Amino acid sequence: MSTSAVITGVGLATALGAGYDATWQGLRTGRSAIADVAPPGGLYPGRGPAPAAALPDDLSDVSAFGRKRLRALSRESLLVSRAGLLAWQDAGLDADGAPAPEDLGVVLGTTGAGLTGYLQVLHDGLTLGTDLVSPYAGPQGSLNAAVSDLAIGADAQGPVLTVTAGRCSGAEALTVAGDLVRTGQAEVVLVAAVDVLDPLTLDAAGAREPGAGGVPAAGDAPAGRPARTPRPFAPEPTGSLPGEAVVVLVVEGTGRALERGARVHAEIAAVGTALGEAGDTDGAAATRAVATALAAAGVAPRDVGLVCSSADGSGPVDRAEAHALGGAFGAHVPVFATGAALGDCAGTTTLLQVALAARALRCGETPATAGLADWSPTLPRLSVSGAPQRCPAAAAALVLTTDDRPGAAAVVLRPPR
Amino acid sequence: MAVVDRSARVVVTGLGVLSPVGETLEDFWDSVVHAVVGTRPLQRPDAADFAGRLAGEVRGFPAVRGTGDRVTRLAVAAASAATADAGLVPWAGDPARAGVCFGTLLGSRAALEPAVTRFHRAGAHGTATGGADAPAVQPPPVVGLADAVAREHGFLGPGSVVATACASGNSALAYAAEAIRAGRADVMVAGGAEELSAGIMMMFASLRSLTDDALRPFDRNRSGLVVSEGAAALVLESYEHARARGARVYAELAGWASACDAHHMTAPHPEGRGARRSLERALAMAGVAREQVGHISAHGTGTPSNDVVEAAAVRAVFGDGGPALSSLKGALGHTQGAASAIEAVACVLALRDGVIPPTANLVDPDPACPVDLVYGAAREAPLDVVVNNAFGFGGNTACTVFTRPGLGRNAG
Repeated sequence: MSTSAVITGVGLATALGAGYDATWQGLRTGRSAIADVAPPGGLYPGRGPAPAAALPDDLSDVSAFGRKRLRALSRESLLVSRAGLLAWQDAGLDADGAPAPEDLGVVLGTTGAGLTGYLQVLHDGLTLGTDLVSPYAGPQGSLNAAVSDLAIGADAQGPVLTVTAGRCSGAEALTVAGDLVRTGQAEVVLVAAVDVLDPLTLDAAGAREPGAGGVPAAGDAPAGRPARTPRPFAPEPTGSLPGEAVVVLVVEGTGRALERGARVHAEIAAVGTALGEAGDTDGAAATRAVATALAAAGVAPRDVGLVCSSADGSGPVDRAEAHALGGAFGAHVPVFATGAALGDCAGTTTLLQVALAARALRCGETPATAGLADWSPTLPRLSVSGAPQRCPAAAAALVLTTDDRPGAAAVVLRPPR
Repeated sequence: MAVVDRSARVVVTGLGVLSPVGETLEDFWDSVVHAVVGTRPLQRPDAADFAGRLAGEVRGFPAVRGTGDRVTRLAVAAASAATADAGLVPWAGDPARAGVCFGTLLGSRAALEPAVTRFHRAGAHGTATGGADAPAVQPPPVVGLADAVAREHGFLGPGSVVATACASGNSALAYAAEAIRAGRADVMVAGGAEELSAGIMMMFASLRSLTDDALRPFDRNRSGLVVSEGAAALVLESYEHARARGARVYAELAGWASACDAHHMTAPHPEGRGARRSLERALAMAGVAREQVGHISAHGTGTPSNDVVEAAAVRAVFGDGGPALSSLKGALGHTQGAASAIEAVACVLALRDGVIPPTANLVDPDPACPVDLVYGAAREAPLDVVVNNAFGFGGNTACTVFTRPGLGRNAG
């Protein structure tokens, strides 16, 4: 997809901090936010704390577009509405230049939105009785609740969609937003992504802990399962650990942004997605996604100045991305990966990467890659570092997200012109 | 606003459907045209929890058929029927140029229910849960619905699952059409799928939306909806691709649009703000005059609020003498994320045959819904343009416009 869309606002929260700056600063230090996380209360007693990257704060001091009755909203809906307001303000839309409500669209990428709400419905229905499920709880169990709450808060009366495509959900959301802007179906789109730690995922992460019931004891974690901080590109894959995050980007047409004098974070030059064949172990889908995005953007590999990888200690993901990036760029382009610092943030992964790559483009520097240790001798060598790396000015950035479907998405960003 | 690129035509070349009133295309259409009602007392997921509730089940699709969760098998079956109907099996083109998009409300989450139910029931009876402190199950990825269809066909192009609650089928069609129009794919299999589940029943019960009577769209005595399951798929292609391979073209998907009420999570905007905007924008994209529209397949859920708001939105867009309107939900029940995909199949068949299906269970039209309702018997009418309405939770609305092949903005 070739677009003429730009990012003019960013609002996010990750396990490293509530906000864009806090996350960026945390990444620069090479810190990992993986810690023992207690299971969310209410539904199940849980197995006890499990290693994961949880939000330290749910942006509780942000007003969620001034909405009342916030207790009726799910945690996902609250996060999206609050991050949405941060992005809105960051884009300067609260001051001037807001589109008419009917020209404001909302698109959300996710893998699990509504899951906790759905489990709550089942819990209440099965333990209290089917007639005693709260009318507020029911709708919060659907996939589209979070985007709908964002639309209500932002008075977005234009196009609306929730899209899910594994870890590449954010890339699909960005594609849809690009289409909406390019075809005039919306002037501005709030492109969101959210996934929170659900009790089932957290319980499974706890079960994988060495010493947990039914799992081998310390030092004997099974292959592909992490003992602690994930180690991207390591000789023995540690496996990933779950994380949670929320991101909202303000996307609008380049001309519109220029006309209103908006500060531009980055131009979205192209998005490429690919699905691999079952058993794709050499990163064919990732390679195809990178090639598609670069071609659509009209950007040569030599013009890419930095890469944000979704490597997170998971063997298949790390292997696919090392092959795709090594093939396209060799070991000359600075690469950073956030999975060991922020956890596997599921459907928010791509949008997080996009926000962070845009920041790196602006700063001329990549953040550190947490968890980096020995490099697997079976993987092509990339320029990844446990410290920040300088990158050339005015070059393009590439974001690569891979998952075990196996699917892949690549996004090419250009710096503001 | 920018000018919409109208150069790429998107056509429908294959149809597949599994519904409570038929599991083949022609059985479905015959039942719909004759107002056969497919909702009956609930058999599954667990009738004991929902005594006396009505539901629409795809009865000829037992649990033992195929592998994987039920909603995925429904989607694969509908998609396979559609691609066979389109003459696309086996797929001989570039795998990266063919993709899949399905819409759903809950996707494969019902696959969690056996383990979650066992967990809670064991706890309620003081039974040991095997030492577990949470249900021992992991949520299947929602996108697995689309991936299963893609794997079945060898497609490696765009693939995703989309959700706008009960408008999801139309949203999947829009996503797929946009992928073709933007040049990301030549062929897309798009549709919707939903399975009956305890979660679905509980969600709608919590909203006091379920009726113990029949689902009676636009009837003075309507009292709510009946939950159903089903799946439908449409093969969408660029016109050039279809022509090059000599495919039969059922119809053109000429317009699509979505809009949000931005009003309330469960109640529609009283003036049908989103519905009206979706209708107007989809018609504008299709480039057809309003008087060309011969039929609207209504969302028509039989709830007091939906039907009166939908009728108002239609009146606002078309005025007096608007198109003939009917709702399939009287026959099918409400198949949620699959609903507008199934109804899209009926729209295409209505265009093909010049027949507008009647609204089953509608006996006494509500004067508060002053539109041209088709009920009692099917109505024959030459049709050039048919509109498909779909509205969901959260004020998510989506409309699609189908035209007879060769008609519309890009004719000629």
